[in-house]
Amino acid sequence: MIPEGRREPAVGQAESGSQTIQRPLYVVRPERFDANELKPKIESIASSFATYLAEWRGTGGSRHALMGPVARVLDLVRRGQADFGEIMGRALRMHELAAPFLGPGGRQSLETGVRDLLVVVEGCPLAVRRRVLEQVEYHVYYLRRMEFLRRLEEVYNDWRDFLERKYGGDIGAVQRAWGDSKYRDFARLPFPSRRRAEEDSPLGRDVKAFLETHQEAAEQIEDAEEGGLAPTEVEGIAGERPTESE
Amino acid sequence: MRDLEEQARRLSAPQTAAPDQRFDLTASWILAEKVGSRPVEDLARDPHPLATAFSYQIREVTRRTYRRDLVKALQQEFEQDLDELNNFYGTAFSSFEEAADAIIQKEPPMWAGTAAEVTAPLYERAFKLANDYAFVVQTANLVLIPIGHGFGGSKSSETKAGLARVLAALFLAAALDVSVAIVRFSELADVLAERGLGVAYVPPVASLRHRFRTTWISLTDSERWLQAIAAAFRLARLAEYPERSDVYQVLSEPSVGRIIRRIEEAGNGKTLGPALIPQLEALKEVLG
Repeated sequence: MIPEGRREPAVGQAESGSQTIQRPLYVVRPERFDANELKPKIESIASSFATYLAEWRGTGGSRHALMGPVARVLDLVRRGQADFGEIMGRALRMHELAAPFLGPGGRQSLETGVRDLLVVVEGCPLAVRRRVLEQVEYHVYYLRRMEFLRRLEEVYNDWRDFLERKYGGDIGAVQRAWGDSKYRDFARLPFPSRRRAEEDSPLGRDVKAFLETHQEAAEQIEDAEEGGLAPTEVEGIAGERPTESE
Repeated sequence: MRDLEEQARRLSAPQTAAPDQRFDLTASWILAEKVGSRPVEDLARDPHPLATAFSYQIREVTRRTYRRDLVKALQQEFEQDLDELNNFYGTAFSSFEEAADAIIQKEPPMWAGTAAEVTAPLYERAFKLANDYAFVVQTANLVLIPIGHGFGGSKSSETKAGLARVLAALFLAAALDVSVAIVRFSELADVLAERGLGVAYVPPVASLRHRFRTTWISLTDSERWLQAIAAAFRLARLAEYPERSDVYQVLSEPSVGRIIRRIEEAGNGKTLGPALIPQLEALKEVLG
């Protein structure tokens, strides 16, 4: 791989019959391209896209819903046949079809992301372009997914506060009310899902009361459930242990 | 260090081992949970997590299997002759199962004097005790833990077993404020010869040396690697990589976003609850 800046023209001499012709010689110093050097740029591009996507209202938690027009932008850059104007046009059209409004801040972030991405892709060798684009894509995905998880964390904190208020901060009272002693800590209560709200049980009635009084939380849960990403337990199964005989 | 050694000895010696508890330096999933649930600086202040970091409760079903193995071992030892067993121990059991229960409950006739010489190896084999951990305080700042066996079980690749060693070493280094090397006996001389400035020794596995880019993980990098490896142990199963090398694969991904996507593609998206945010952030520190 030969970075552009490494080409250094020099003047050499070539002999042709009795004449001496001066012609430029290009001395190249081959160097391995280090994709890690692009990491700060990749993170900055991903942040611009994530800022724009805060205005994107995809429903659910699918890749399409999380990435919105950015996935299309990355596809167009990957194919390498579109310029800045075409990419922006297509992305904005896609946005308009799904959401009625895009604020100037959001549009500017999208423009910054696309422009910087095109500059980075232009400057890196063909062989690593795909990898760079993949890194941008997964970084945006990470930022979006973390934002989604943080919203769910807020919902969970509201749910925990709701129960602490209702039961006076006494986990024993929760156990007695729900008839279940497995909940030993306010930080490890079940996630308030809509399915639970439909259950005819003390826990179900508490979830129902919470969702009725916390409209925003209810919307977040609905969003998560439609995308198939609402956690059932706050701990997930990550805390489970494999068999000890392993 | 003495607490840890005492805990290891108590739970690994047949005479004192509780039937429902086990000490195991390779219990990475327990350690990963403990690391993930508290700040590293707390580990040095509170001796309790250190002493219990490598011990865990054995499940009921496993305990039943061990008991069955002990009954079989007794039957083999006394050639199915219950009278011989009763003569030897000076007891009046009506079955081998009763004798096995007496051993498990540490009843004095089964463990007194010469009886213990027969009982201990039977119990050790049946309950799969591994009383082979030694903590060698090489200098005031370096603890060596020589191991004579593998680290991580038959389902682990050498790389995954190596990561389990690094995790345990990093944890001990953080908790005891010393440098730690968990090494095979055959590697001891090499470790002492290539003693670097770091706090945790990286086993001589090419992929690990390449990943950490060092032989000893430095003090400044130790916390982020401790948290990241612990997070990888917890998330690897959700992402459903091949079990032999799942932890290493998590730590080799180019981005945390890709791990999240893989977890979702494996159908485990619902398990990504808010409680996993610290784990994802810990991985972000080393993956980007």
